[in-house]
Amino acid sequence: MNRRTHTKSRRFLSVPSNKRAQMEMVGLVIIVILITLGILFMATFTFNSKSSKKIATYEQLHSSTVSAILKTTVSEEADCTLIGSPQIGADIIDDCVEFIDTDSRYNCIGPKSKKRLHSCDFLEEAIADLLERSLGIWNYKYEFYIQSEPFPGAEKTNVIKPVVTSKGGCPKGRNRDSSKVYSISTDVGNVNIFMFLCN
Amino acid sequence: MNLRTKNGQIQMTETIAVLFIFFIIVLFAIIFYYKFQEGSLREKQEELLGAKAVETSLRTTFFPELTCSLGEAEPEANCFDIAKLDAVNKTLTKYLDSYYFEIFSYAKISVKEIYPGNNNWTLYNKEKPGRIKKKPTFQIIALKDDLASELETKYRYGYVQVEVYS
Repeated sequence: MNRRTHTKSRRFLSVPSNKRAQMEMVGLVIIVILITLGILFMATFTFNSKSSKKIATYEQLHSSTVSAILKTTVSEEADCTLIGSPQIGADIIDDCVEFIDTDSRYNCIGPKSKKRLHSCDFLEEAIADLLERSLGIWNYKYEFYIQSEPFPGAEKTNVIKPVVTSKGGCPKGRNRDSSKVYSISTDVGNVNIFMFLCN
Repeated sequence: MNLRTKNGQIQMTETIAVLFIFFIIVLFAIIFYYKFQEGSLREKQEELLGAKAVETSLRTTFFPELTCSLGEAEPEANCFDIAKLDAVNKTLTKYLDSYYFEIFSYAKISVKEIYPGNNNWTLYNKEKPGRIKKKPTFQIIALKDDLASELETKYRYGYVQVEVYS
């Protein structure tokens, strides 16, 4: 037997007896470090996982809001000049789109300004007021649009300035949901009404 | 003294120290896991309460005792009839425990008009004894008033508020 080789391999594998405690301590420290890393890794995963909040409520809320606004009858206090009480959807929007550049048929008193307004201005003020007193109080952010489309495929233009929350609307990059588009047929083309809702 | 005779004792001490540290680490892990589970369960409870609120709100919106109807035609969506609102409270109160509790459970349902008036209707109220929290949801609706005028139907703007208790 080659004594040298035997001695060499023994020296390579064996730990000197006066260093054993130190080697064991190193082993213990490695275990502690591995366990700590494992816990940190788990904690990172736990706190980074985003809970996807369902926005099921939005689906009903924004569509029901647009629907309710369109059906709402203007109050007698607004004293709209024509006979009968106009509805925002069927009458005021139609009037606004048809007479956007001239005097409108309906000249109602605005709920905030208390002045007699062109139907487009009244529309903007009335919708802003309704949304502020409902969605605004519940801390929802919204953007309400009324767009006209003179003929299918034509460029859509805003009939009134989009009604937006005072705290800022729902820009594209944000997690926002859109209502279904309500369409009204008028003498000057289609009018599309919809809104975005975000939180 | 010869250290060789103390080898076993030293080894035992080492083992005990290692086990001690190991169990401390396990204890920390258990405490951490418990705290994490507690937070996770609370979040889940909130989520379930929110889902229950949405479900109750949707049921209310499509409630035949409240929704607008056009004769025998389909009911109008997102619309409550004011005449029904004035009358339904009596029915809901009378059959609250025997029938409506199974549908709405512990909840408070009220309808509020925003424009042009400011009427309020509390339709259903069953508070849970010793309730911990409640979660409100809102749904905007049109309020149909057939009796306002002989010539035309008028619509008001309002919302239904549903609060569920946990």
